[in-house]
Amino acid sequence: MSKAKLRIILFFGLIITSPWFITLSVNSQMINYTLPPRLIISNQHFVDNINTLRGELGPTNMISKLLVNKPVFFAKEVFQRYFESFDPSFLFFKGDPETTKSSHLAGAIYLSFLPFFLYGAYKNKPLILLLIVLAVPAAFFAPHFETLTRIPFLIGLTYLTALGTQKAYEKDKRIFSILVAFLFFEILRFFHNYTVHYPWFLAELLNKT
Amino acid sequence: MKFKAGDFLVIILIFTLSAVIRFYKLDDFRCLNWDEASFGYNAYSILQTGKDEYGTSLPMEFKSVGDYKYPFYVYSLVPIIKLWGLSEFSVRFFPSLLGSIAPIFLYFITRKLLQKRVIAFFSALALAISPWHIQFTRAGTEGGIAYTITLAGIYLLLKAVIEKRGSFVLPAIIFFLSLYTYFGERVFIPLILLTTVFVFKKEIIAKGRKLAKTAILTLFLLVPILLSVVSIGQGEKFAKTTIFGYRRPDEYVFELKAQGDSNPTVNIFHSATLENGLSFINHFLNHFSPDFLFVKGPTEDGRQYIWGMGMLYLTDIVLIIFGAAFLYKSKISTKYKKFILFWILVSPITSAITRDPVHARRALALTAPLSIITGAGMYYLILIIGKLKNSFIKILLASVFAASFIYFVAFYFASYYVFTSKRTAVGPSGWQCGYEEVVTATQKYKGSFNKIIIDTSYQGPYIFYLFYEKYPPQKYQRQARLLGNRSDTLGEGGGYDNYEFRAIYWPEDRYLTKTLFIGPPERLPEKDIKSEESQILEKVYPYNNGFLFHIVETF
Repeated sequence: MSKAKLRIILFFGLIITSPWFITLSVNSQMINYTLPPRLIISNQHFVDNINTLRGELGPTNMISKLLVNKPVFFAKEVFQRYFESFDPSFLFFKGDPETTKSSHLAGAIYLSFLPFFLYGAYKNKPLILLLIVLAVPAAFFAPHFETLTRIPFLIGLTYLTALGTQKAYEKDKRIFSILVAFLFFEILRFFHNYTVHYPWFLAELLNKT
Repeated sequence: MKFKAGDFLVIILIFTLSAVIRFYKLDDFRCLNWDEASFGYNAYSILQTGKDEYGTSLPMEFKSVGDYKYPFYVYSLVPIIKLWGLSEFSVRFFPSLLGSIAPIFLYFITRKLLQKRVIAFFSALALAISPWHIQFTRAGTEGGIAYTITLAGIYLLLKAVIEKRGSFVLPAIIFFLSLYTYFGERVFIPLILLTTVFVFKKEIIAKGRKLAKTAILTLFLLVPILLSVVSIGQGEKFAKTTIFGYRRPDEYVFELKAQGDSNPTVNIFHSATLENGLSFINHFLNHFSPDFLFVKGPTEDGRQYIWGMGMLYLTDIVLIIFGAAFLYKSKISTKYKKFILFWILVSPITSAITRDPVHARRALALTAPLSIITGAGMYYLILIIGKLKNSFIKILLASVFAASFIYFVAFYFASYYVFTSKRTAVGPSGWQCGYEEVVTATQKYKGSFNKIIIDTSYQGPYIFYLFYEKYPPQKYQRQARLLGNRSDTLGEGGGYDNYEFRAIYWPEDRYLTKTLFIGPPERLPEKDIKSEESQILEKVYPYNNGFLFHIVETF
């Protein structure tokens, strides 16, 4: 099998077994597949917060306006959402806060992806820049740790993981086998949680709504 | 590595900057929390009687509220309290002093590893102004003291390993001092020693004979620590804070089975070992989360975080990336680079083994290696900008970065002194403000009631009463009792004289006659204070937070 073919198989194999893909696909009836609300600089809550903080600093002057202002605080909100794409809890443990988009018993991807991803990134450094860019769109939408806006990022991350998996297979088959064994265990665990425990959380959510 | 006049100037500069930041408004800004009050009062007790609050002579662990504090900080406070009396400033002086010295040790460590004075200066500067480091070296936390001592030990250890004439005896003594200061160092120091052995094994093997002396000294010093590890106190401390002591409730397993698990699937997919292991990895990775480092910090604990930012400045991302790139490309010895990398990797382990998802104080060890990388980043960034040919671009980039950096430092100080204090002043997970005012107010009524009941929902009032009243330790030792101390929770002092410290339950307590109650409004709600049986004597207002405690008498 050629390297390119192996890479493609690995890539698509990792995508279709990823928690985010499975959850979004299976729950497609329950999910609203439109873009979530955008971050807006003139949002009233935002403005109120800034006024409160300026009030706490004392009489409004140049310094309080420089320290607490809409552009800077808006930029901070954007940065916060940007960094959420790289948050370990979102990626490996909890995923999206919305129960229809994540079981909360796994992250968006498996923890076993991490060593393969790191190796793939190390061997393909220019692609890290692509990953950094792919995380940008999600930064401008209001919901925190939202999965739909992070699909391009997750795809890029999985591609690097596939590259790393392929390289690891070529480099050291023993270590590769151990890591793949962990990955299979994680996949099994995810499927167990998804089929046995997740329906209870979904039922609870549906009962509330 | 020779000591020059330039080094002396750098030390003065860094120490002055660190000391100004760490001592400014030390005793009137953040209120004393119960740990600080406990350290202070136990030191006062040692000074007056040679015993702790429970009457144990010169203990090697201080029972306190069942957390069994380590002794070095307490004993170091004794001469300070002798000099300045029992006060907030006395309690915080020593941690602030050592916190001001820490950047100097980092300067020498960085010079040893990266061989450049400029980078060492920038690294020391980064630690001196690090929000994370300042947070735990202004308040009276033993973690900040221990880490400065540990940094001294790391510097001496590197000297011993790298230099031909280095001795291992002094670093061993320094490390053992640190082991008697804070629990976290008992996890971190063995890890950093293992790191040193792993990275510098050839150099260490070559010094075999010198190590023999240190090994004998180590065994001698290790005995009391080994004894304390198996003591009931340390066992309790270990159980209360770490994932190893946590026994998950049976209800959790029942719930799993009710949802459809069988015994085999519980054992395979939900075993305690697996879930503790995943918990450890989750906690470990959380310390590298951008959210924790640059955005919000540990928001669950008001004493750990600075409102509106992470544990580091947002501009530190750029510096850390540049620093990592510089270290990767530079011709610095691979061993030194490995040492820094492993230092970063072992630093969060102390926190990762505990039950909290993330803990800034327990992971304080991360501040030094991250400051080294930040310092290298400052140097590399200046180098790259300096090499640009286009003057306009050069000035633009330098100005944008400098302006951003200044903004974030200014925001940090604004948040520290204004925003954070307003949001974290009160409550058990905040700075527990209000107790000094409450104790002062209580003095007016103390002699008029046979019984005064003080609510414990804000944690630890008994130690604040002892501290602010400067209650004679010899009298308290005869009355000291710790209540509610269990394997999974801390306890509370039961009371002394006519004080009783417990949870107030007003629906029943209202029927106790001629009693004074002191508690927050949610325990003594104004609407339930009926004029025929009780009255509010006073509402106690801490310095800028609205009323916090009601003082109510029953007839």
